[in-house]
Amino acid sequence: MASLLFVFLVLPLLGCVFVLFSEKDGYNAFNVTFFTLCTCILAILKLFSESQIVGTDFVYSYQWLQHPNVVFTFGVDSLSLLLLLGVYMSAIIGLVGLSAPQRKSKSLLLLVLYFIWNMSGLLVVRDIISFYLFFAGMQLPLFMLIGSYTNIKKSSTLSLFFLFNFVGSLLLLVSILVVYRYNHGSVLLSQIGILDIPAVPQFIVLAGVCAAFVLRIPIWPLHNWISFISSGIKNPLIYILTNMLPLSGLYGFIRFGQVIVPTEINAFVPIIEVFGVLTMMFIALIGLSHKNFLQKLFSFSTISYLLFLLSKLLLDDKYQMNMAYSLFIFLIVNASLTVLDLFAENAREEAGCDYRGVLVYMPRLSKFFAFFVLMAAGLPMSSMFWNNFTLISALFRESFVTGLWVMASISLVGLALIYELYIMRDLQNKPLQEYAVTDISDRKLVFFGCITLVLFLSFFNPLWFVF
Amino acid sequence: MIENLIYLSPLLTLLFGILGMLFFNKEQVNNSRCFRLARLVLLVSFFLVIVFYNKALLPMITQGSQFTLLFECLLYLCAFVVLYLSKKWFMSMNEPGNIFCCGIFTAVLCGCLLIESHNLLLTVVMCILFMLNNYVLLVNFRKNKEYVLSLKTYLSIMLMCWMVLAGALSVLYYYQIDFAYDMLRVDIDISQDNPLVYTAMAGVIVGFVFLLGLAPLHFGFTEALSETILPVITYFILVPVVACVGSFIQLNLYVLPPLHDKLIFFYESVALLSVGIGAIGACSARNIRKIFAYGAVNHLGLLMLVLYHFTMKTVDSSFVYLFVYLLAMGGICTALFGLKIKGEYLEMLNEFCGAAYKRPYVAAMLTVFIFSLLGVPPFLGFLGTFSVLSRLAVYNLYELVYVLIMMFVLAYAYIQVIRTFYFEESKAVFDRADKGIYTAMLFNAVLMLVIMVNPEYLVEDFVLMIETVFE
Amino acid sequence: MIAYTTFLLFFVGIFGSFKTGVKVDKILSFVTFTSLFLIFGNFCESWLTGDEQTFSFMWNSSPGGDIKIDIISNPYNYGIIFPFFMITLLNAADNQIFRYEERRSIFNSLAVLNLATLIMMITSNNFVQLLSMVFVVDILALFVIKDVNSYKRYFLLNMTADMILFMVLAVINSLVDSLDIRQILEYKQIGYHTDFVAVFGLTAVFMKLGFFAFHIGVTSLNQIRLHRLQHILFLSAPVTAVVLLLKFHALWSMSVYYTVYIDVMCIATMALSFYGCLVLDNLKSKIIYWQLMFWALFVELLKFNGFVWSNLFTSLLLDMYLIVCGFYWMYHYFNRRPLVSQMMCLTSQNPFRQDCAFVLILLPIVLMANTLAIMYNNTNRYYIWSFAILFVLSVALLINQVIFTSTNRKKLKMNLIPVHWLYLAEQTGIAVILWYYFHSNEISVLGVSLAFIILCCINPLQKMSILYSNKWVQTLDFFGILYRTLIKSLRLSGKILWLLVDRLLMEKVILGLIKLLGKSNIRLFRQVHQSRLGGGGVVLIVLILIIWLSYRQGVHING
Repeated sequence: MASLLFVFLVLPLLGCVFVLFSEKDGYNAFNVTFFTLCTCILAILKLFSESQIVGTDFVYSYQWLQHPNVVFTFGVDSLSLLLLLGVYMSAIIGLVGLSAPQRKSKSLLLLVLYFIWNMSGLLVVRDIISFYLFFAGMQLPLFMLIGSYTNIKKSSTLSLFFLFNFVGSLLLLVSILVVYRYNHGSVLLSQIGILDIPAVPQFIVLAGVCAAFVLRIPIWPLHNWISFISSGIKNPLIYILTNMLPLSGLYGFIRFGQVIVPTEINAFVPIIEVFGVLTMMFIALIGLSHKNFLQKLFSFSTISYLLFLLSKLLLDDKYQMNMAYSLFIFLIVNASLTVLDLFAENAREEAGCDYRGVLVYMPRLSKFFAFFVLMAAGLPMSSMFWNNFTLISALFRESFVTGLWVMASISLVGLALIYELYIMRDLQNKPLQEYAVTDISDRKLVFFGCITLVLFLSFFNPLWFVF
Repeated sequence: MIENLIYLSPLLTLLFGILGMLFFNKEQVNNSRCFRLARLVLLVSFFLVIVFYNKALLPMITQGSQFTLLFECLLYLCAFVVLYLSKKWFMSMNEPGNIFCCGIFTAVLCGCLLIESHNLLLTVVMCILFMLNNYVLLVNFRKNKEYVLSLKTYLSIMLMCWMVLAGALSVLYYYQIDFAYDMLRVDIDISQDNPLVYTAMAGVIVGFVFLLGLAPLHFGFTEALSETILPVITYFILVPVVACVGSFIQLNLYVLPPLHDKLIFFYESVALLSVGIGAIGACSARNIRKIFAYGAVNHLGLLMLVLYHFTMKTVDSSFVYLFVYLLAMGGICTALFGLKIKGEYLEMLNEFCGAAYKRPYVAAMLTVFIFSLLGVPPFLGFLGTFSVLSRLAVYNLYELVYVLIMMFVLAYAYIQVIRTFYFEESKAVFDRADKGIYTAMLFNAVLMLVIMVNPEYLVEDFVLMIETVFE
Repeated sequence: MIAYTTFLLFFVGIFGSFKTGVKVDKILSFVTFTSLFLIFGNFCESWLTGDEQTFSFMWNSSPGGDIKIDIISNPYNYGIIFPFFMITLLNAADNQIFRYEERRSIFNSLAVLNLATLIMMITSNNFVQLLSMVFVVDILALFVIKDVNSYKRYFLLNMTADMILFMVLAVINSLVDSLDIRQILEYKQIGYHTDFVAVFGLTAVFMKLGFFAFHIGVTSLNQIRLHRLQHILFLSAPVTAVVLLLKFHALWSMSVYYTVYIDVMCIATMALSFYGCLVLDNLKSKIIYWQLMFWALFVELLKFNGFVWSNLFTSLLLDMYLIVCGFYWMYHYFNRRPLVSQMMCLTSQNPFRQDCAFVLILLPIVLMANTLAIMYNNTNRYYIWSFAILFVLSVALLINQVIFTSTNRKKLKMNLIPVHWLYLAEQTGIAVILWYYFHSNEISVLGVSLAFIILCCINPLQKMSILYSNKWVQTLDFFGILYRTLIKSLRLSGKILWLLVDRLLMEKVILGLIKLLGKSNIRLFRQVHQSRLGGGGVVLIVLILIIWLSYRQGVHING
């Protein structure tokens, strides 16, 4: 099974090569990308079922250097597999949301595959150096994607985006180098807690790690880069990938949080907790004030990430799988809503109809849109509902005040999403006009039907797809 | 005697090459033939160097080893790349390239002697010759008013270095110190508390600082490079660096250990200054050549920051970084050779607007090389950066933090380049790039990929050769 | 067994929810109705046989406790489910009779699914099951309301209530460390945040019931079809609220604010609803306010009864449903004209119809009065009667206006729709059954009927009808304005925060300062490098300084 893990890791890169040499101005590259992602999903499912049968993790190692001893170690467990599945499914949803001209862009698809490779690498690594490799590696494709395929041409915004992420990578690098100073060579993530490092360097390591991850998760006052960027992206796939970036920070916390000595990390938890909660409220209020669905969706995704972050920091590891289930659903819901909203927006602009009541003209899209919005708002339509309930109630146990703020923010953003849904479905007593608004095609109908089914069935069993 | 002459054959080949080029210049032989011959001469010389790798070029004052062979190979490779790329420029601009080839031969000749030198007099003389050769190359190409001013700056700093080097030799001569490295070390050990001896040796190092373009002697280097032609920049960024680093390591390992404690602060200051000035200078520049010239100052400063400890591990790490630097900088120069509008090679950053849309492969490779220089994984630059920074983490955490801050500043400058290439729109029509450019870039990229996948070639095999210097 | 009934209901609900052609739909709706009727029969049979079985299914496990699906059959649960089953059945029957729906089968299915959900909620022993069902009921309500304009307020308020409930249950779960509702009594021993849990839990309940200050969600439903409105008022969010009260009263009663909060809210709702019933011209609005008044009364009665369900509550619910059905008939007869001021006086019509209408209203009123009288005996609370009097007064006002007052409205041309005999038979039959089962040996029918007739004839509040023409009174939306202001202020605060923090502090101040610092550094750098001579001097000095310092440092180290 370790070989399957290797194949899974190599597949996106192989896809990159095929995309690079695919024909120009055709759908060849798109088909290759789609096929690659689907194959990866199959590989994940196979890994999932094998891991359920064997009951242990698969580990694959690659000796990169002997002096210093750098061994790249990869392994999967249920948590990483669920997140991988979420990432790949989100990417496929984003891919489906691309318009015809976008599907012909080779470089776009190449960079997307490269980003996905980095993300999947990050989710399966087990050692500190390869974690850094993928953590830092994903900023380049995203930067190129955002710069080349979005409307963000303002240099300061783009530079801000890159530099923020670059600083994060550098901070992680500092931590890794300090660990390296005391333990020459690769260190498994599971061994960091037992390393014999003096107090001050250990503090530096923890501070660096926390700061690096916090920079990826939009916590005030470091949230600007992602909010500036998100407001200018109209390409669904790039939007989805950009909003996936905080996952790397969150996953970092999950993996590092498992091993870092609690007493050390406790020093940072209250700070992150306070800023996290403040950001949640802040973002929720801002989301409420914006008159755009995508902005509200951005608020939703930020608040969700912060909820998971707080859950990770404040709760025991026994809640990890609940977090993973929720994250899995969250990724898919977020991606689906992005694609549907941008589709509706494009169709609306083409037909020249108003924003208010636009969904009335798109009955098929409207149904899925409503389903995903209600799911995002926290209704019991997927396993996110009861997993979030478990997480929030545990948060209440840890800190009543934090729980209150978290709940207030989640409620606000949920209501804001529902209100926006209402606006998009309400014609305000105006009669139906003769707008030629394109609704989603039959293929997309089937596709989103399947996605809906996947999510809905997860309500009954979050791992229903594992046989 | 004949045996010595045979061992000297690589240098003699180069000397013949120089003479041949001068003859060609007089006869006005066309560029194509000239460069073909130059490459041939270089290859023959390279072959001879490899064949006689363990033989001294000049017995008594030079010494060959695996270490010198490695640096000489790198030197030849860099020179070959410079010649290969420069041919495109000279053909395209229809300018005679004989003098340039002559300069390259001289540089390789000086470089080989510098690398193999085991005599301070030879080292200093070669340094002076190297400087002169560099100046000649700068003087020969492009002569506008601004450039003359830059050249004057370069010349004045060069003359100052000459004076310092001459002064250093005079002081050592005055104290009757033998110039042979092994004897010199003994003498320095005896008179290590003598401030004048210290100053003299610091003066010798000033020569290296100037040749490498490190701060605070970077003035002439960066200013002149921003005005000169692309082949000369490529030469400056690659060739002297290899020769100087090789010689500098030997000088410090064979001669200067008694003064090491006293020189540490000097090295450290030069390195830190270079890292800082390189990064800020790159941010302040609008000329793409200047950006990379300052970038080179930064990278070489970082190299120096690790190297100055002169332990086996720091030398190994520095070599890895140097190798990665050469590949990436070589790649960047190659990419710049591939971008021109109506036959004109571009200088200012804004001239490159939208280059990625017209020349996507060249721009993509340039991006890869830039990120490699920044040490962003998974490019090869990560290996180099990790290699030096991990050493730095062992020695000094504050320096590590400083370097990372400066890396961040440098990243800003490099990002501006990428932004201009990719995210700015322009209707400029870029000329079709030569196939040779693509070939060079592909070769570079494949080399980077192979080393990244299996860095043992670089880190293990090459480093074994490097470590012979400690024997 | 209730589980069996529930599964059958789910099956019938899903079966009937397919969108088909009109003819198939007719058949399908009939099949669903018949099935519902048969399941009801089976349900009653199980109840009567004293079935006490438990269906328990381990759904998932979580660190907060096991998530189980429990459907517990016992006489108490049967008793609670019965009135809602009955109302669903009647609602489905009316749907068959009146034929307003284009897709009757889908409406029937929604009602059936809603009932199944309610059953699962009533029989639940698990927070997650309970919460899920509360949410599902709200989602089904969305489909029932259908009209986008109407459900905005209703759904947003209910969602807010659900979120609050979610929070309250999360708090309870966090302290009890179990998802089992039966464990909440342990909460008493822990004793943290009892007031918080009670106040917020009750707030959620009041929001769902549409009590004072939260009534705008329900009152905004006056545009939807009356039988859909009936469904919402009797089978949707208010029922979930009642179930929540039944399940959590023991916990919430630990708070000192519990009794006060319930009383204040019930009295305020009663007053507000009475005002609404008197002054509003729209019949649907009146029905909504009557319903609110009813729920306030119902909650108070439940409280007096210690939140223990009894047959009297079943009777009360069915009585109220029958009263609303009476108004439904009236509304239907006047060709679905919603304004009372435009309804024709029934005295000028067929006396038979007048009698029918009167009987249809009178019967359940008498039944209700009877029930209240029994409850009065049990609780000995006087203000139950004051609630009842207000209720009857407002009903009597309408009856007075529509049936007994002769006005010039006869000039209005109206296409009157005669009522189906089946409907009349159904209403009367149900009333008789109710009488037989619940009230056969209670107070004098004649006395109550007489009192009601007198009230209807000489209604002292009939002058209030002049307010029907007052546009300000009819359109006044005080709480709507209040909520809008609240939301606007929230949005404004978001905007201000965004401007202050994101734009001003982060973008202009912090990032601006960093940029300025960078620019000034670069300027300084350029200046040093531009002045070649000065720069050269600086270089020389720096170089000499470094060499000198390095020597000093070395000497110091060697020491």
